[in-house]
Amino acid sequence: MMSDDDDAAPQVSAVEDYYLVDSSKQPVCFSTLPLQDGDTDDVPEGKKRLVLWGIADRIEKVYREVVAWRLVLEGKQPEIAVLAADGGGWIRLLKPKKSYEEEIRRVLITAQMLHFLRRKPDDPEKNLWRHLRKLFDKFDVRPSEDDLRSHHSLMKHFAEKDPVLAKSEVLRVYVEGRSRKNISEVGADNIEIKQPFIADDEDIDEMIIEDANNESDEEEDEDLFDSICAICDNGGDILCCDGPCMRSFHAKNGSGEDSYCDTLGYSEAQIEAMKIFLCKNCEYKQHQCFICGVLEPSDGAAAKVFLCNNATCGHFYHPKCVAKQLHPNNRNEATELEKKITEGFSFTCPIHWCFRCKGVEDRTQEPLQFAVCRRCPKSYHRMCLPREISFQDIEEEDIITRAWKLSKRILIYCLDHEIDSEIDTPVRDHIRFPKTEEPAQFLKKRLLHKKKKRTFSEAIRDQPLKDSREMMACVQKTEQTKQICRQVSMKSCTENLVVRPEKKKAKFIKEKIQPESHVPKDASVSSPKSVKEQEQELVVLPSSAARKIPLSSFPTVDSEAEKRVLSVLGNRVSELTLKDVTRKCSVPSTHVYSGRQTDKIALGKIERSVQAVGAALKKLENGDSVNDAKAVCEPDVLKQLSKWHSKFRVYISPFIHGTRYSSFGRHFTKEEKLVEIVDKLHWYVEPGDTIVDFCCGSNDFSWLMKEKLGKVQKKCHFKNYDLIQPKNHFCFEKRDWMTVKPNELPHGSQLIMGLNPPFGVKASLANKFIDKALSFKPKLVVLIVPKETKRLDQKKTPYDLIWEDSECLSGKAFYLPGSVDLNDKTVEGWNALAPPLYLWSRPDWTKKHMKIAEEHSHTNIGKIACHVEEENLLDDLPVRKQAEATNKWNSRSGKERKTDRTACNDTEANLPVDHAAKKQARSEEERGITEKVAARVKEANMSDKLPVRKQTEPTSKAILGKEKENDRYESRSDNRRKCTPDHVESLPPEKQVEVAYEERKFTIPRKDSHHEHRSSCHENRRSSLGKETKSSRHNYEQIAVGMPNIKSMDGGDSDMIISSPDSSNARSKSRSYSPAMPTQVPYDRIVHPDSYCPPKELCDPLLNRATYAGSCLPSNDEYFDALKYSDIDNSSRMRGASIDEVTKPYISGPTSMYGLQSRDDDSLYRHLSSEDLNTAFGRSLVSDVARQGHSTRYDDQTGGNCQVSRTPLTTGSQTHLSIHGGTGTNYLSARHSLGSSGPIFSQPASTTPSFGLSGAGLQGGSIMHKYAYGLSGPSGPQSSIMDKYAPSLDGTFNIRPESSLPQQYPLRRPGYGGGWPQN
Amino acid sequence: METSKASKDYADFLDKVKRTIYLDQLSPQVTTQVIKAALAQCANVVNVEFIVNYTIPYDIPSAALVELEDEMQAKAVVELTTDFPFIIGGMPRPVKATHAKAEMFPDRPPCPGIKKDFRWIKLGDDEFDSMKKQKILAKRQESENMALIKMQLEEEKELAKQQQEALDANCKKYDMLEVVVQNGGLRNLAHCYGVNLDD
Repeated sequence: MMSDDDDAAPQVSAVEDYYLVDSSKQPVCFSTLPLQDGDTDDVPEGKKRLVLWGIADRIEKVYREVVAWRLVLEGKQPEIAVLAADGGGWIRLLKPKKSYEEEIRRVLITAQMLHFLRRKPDDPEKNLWRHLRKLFDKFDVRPSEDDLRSHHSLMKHFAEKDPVLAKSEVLRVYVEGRSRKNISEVGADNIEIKQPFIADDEDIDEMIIEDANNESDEEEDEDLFDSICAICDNGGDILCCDGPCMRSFHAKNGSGEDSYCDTLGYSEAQIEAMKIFLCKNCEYKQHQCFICGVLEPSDGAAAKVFLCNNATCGHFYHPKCVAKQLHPNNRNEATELEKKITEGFSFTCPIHWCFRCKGVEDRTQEPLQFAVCRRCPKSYHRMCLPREISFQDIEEEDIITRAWKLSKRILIYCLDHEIDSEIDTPVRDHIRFPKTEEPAQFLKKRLLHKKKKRTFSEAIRDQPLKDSREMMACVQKTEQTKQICRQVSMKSCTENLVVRPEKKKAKFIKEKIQPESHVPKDASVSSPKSVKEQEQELVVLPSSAARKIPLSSFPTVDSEAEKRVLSVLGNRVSELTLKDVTRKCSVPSTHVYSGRQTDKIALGKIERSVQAVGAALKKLENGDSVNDAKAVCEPDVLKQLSKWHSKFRVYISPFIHGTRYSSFGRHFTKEEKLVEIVDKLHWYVEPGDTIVDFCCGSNDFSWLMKEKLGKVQKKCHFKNYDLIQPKNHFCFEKRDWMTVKPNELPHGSQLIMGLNPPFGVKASLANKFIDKALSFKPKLVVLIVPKETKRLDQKKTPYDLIWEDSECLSGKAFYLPGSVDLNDKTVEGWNALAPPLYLWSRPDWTKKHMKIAEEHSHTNIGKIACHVEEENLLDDLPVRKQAEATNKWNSRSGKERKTDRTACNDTEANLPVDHAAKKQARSEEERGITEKVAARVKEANMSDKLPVRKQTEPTSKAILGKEKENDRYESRSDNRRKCTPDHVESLPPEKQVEVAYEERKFTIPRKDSHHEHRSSCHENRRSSLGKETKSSRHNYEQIAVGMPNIKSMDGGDSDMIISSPDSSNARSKSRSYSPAMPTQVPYDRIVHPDSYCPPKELCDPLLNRATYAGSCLPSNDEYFDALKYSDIDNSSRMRGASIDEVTKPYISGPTSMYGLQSRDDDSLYRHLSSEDLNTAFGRSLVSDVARQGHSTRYDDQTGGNCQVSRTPLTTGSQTHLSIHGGTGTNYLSARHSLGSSGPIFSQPASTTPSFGLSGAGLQGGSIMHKYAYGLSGPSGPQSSIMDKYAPSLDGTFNIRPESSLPQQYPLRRPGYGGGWPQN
Repeated sequence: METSKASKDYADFLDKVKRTIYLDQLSPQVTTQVIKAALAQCANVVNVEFIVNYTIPYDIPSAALVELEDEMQAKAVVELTTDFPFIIGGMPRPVKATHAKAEMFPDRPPCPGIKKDFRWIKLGDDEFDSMKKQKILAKRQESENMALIKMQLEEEKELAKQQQEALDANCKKYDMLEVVVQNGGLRNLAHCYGVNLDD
């Protein structure tokens, strides 16, 4: 390296990417150096020296001997510096080298902690931990007390030296090493990997593991909305109102003690019982004007105050008050606005603009964050905040604290409000709840309540409230009693019995018995309607509830007996607390999911946010600026909404597809797949190894492995863990994998670990399992995990990938134990994206394993498999295209395809219920478009092409007819069947097809007209799409939607689909496209020509890569969106979801059918690819046949139906022949020369014959490309078709009118909404 | 001969009892197939016998005696249901499994060695008092049992109501979200803001 540390060593002030090593070149933490204070540059006498490596000024490599270090806490960030031994002064350490981070993690944590405490010496400890947790998020291990302990001396040093820190209670505790009350939570014994680090008291009970993402979700939620108590402006244990005000309150008695909060005075049980909490304001729809504070009705015709339309704002205003503030200098405008608001015009209150500069808030930039007054609609940007509103008391200037920082917002009391020095806030008289007029009844209850108070001295629950609140208190009281009544929990009954003194109990019994003696049949029927009765009901709940049960059918229950039972039960029940139960029900780590706490997302918030989105859109439509829209609905609200959405999706899905669901959402790998895996894996096993299956499920894997290894004379050990005892006890231990200790398993170099862990949402569980496995340092890890799982080569101790096989587990690779569909068959599992099978090797074993892999040619497959992108799903589109283009597929097939497609759409419209189920898994982005497009397709059919429409109906009709004969069809949802009558008189399918075809022709001429416009954006898209699927898809969308005519674009997509089948015209299309070329963006041109020059492709496959990817992907997207809507979409989402999400039930019915179908096809193809190509041909025939079988079964394969029955099988075989002819030799080479895009392109070619029509190709396509690519070269036409196809998109897009969208939705929505009740 | 057969029968029966579990809290819709599939993860079901509920003309959760292959499996199932909430057939509440007891079988063979005979007891007989006591006890237990069931039903009803409320509330929320996601409003606005929703 650079050894320029001679005399002329340049002054270095800061280094990044640094690390320090000792004399033996081992990385060491700088804290082993002596700690030095202050600014002295004197080189100490110490012997210990370390060498600092790093980069200064971005380029210059630094290599210095250093002798001491220091920590400076004064700045914004803690600053760590080391002292150069050569007298070069202090060198600041900026960012450590990645690999070094782990080494210095602890000292960094300590430094951050000191820094935090210095800034906020009085903050509660939990804030400290939250802060640290956030900072050290990227580490696998959370910061814990243990980390701090190891730098005890450092803390001590600062505690003594720094006057601010010396005051910190928290630090003192650490320095003194006192044992903490919550040591168990943050202590050493809890170094579990990314376990929740629990700091908040209220979290302790929950004991639910959430991943880091989720935590941040919740925190953001808090930031976005008002998450502090409306009464006392402090946080803590608060309850959010579900109404429009969205305020939070300290609801529980005794909460908010820190801030002397009066609270709403509810008891714990009451809160527990409230599913929806409405504050009194929202309940009675009376709110205060946030400016003048007057309480007025806020709902209906009598409304006097109106709600601000901002998503996160729950303030109401008098039109007059707010108009005056919004136009302070213009009375005319103010009056006008006032009038408009009174008429219901939505407005945004002044709180959403900076009082000083009138700008909007931007939470992402600190200076632009808002400081919001809690008492009046006044906000300042952080940077605009007047000096008098200070975070600290400044005594000499008589400034008192008026501002407090939340994570992304600041709370202030602006200068208009006098701060009460006792409570540190302004006087808390700002909230007025409506004095509810509950006339007679209320008074009566109040009397009762008072009486009760006298007799029963329930003082525990009824803490006296201030006079001004008495009314409110009374309301609460009645509420309370009611609540208890409602809550027929054993507990409350017995509590009442037990808690009260014996005498009263006796009295109650007496009362109870009295009526009974009159009418022994039922205890409470005849009880006198008096106060007594009400009292009694409090206690004898069951009997009052019993009246609901018709006496005729329920045997009369002797109330004596009941009482006896009650008392027996009572004793038991009172011993039982909710906590005990929760503890018992704690879910094993493998099945924890994060869909909790949805209850806490307040209805009001969602409602308001949703409304605000609408309002913001409207604003934009009206031509207001984006900033205006942002004032209504901030960008963060959108993010929050989409987060909520996915959260609810996870949470609610078990209810949507509940009935077939059986526990745990376990999915097992099918035995035949396991055999395949075992076949591959056994080469790597050495005698004496221990094979650990950490989530063995049915325990088949190790059994198969053992058999196999037995055959090849390798003797191994096995160890299988799972939570549920399998039938096969072979080497099984019923254990939670997370609890297995390192010493229980042999040394890592004898360990082979892995297989199919539960995935969890976003693969969180899989990650956890893998992390645990890695702690054993096994030499080999074999995994079936979804792609989003963190790859092992990105772990702290990276593993090397030996191979990866994404096909092995595509198809019906999994089954769901314990689930049955309607036909009593076990539901089989499919994944939208087959989780790849990985083999990872510990680096020191990699060589060896690679060698084995090469010997058995595992790697080849692996490499190609790597390239299979998510596109699988989308792939069948080009396939179709291709099919059309090949002249073998004459116009007729094109037509059929078309019917297929339209039928699909039709199906989709007819099956709105499916929607509800459909919404799973797929990324939102796609979905949005998808549905839009699908909707439009139909719309387009109706408006533009009557004939087409005609044709659609009959086809689906015809197919329906067919399906009816079918047993399988039983499992379809009923809606579908209901549709049938409408379509009864239909033309024979053939005829419709013809009509459709003509129709199509007529669309072609239109293409050119919109061509230019479209092509430019299309080109953009194409070029940007080149590389990575995900981003590309997104790009595409951005571009597309960014265009002014969003709708028409979408329309275009859908139309493209409709017109796409005109295969016979493919050539002419491409010609028509070329004139537009000049308009393309220059850089695109480079790429684009390739896409339609087949010969070039032959010469230079590399160049083509990008191009093809480009041209394919967009089309895939679009195609996918529209066509596959009903089948792919359905099934893929469902699939993805059901496997991903632990609680998710298995769905079934219609969607699964699609999935199965497509799976079938591709499993056949998988064979093709992995086996001899010669046999492939024969099989593809088989697959055709198979598909025929399938398509008769599944109604959505409508097109398939027609096609298969009509197209002679020979056609299929012909194409296959030609394909395979071309393939043979090119096969291998093609494989290798292909980049990631290659496979995508090639699918079309190979799948052409068999997938021509049906939606089944989705997976098959991606799999095919392996061997298929070879032909794309020689056969030429296919590739040329690709580009033809792309232009065809361009041309047709505008046929559909824009207006159809809005109309479309109403059609679908009701159906989807109706889905709920059914479940 | 007779006795040996009887005792063998009885021994067989006891074996059967050991490998049988009693599943309670089953949804009335659960069928033999469903149980088989659900338990297939850890046991092979040999026979399922639903216990007919004679006591109450009510849709109370049904129960079944499930015979498994061996005792081990029976144990596994019982552990499974006690360790985790185990749901069969989409019933929103977990089922409970316990080891079966001989008394649960309506068709149990007579225990060899114990001879039962029946006779009338009149007032004044030696056993009359104890008989009387037993009779009262039986009655009392019956009524208490009924009271228990009644209370349980009420509780369940309440619970179901609560759950339904919670679910409804959540569904409502989800619906609202779904609307805005579905109609593209969210996405459009995000584009206008230039915000990427996916991270």
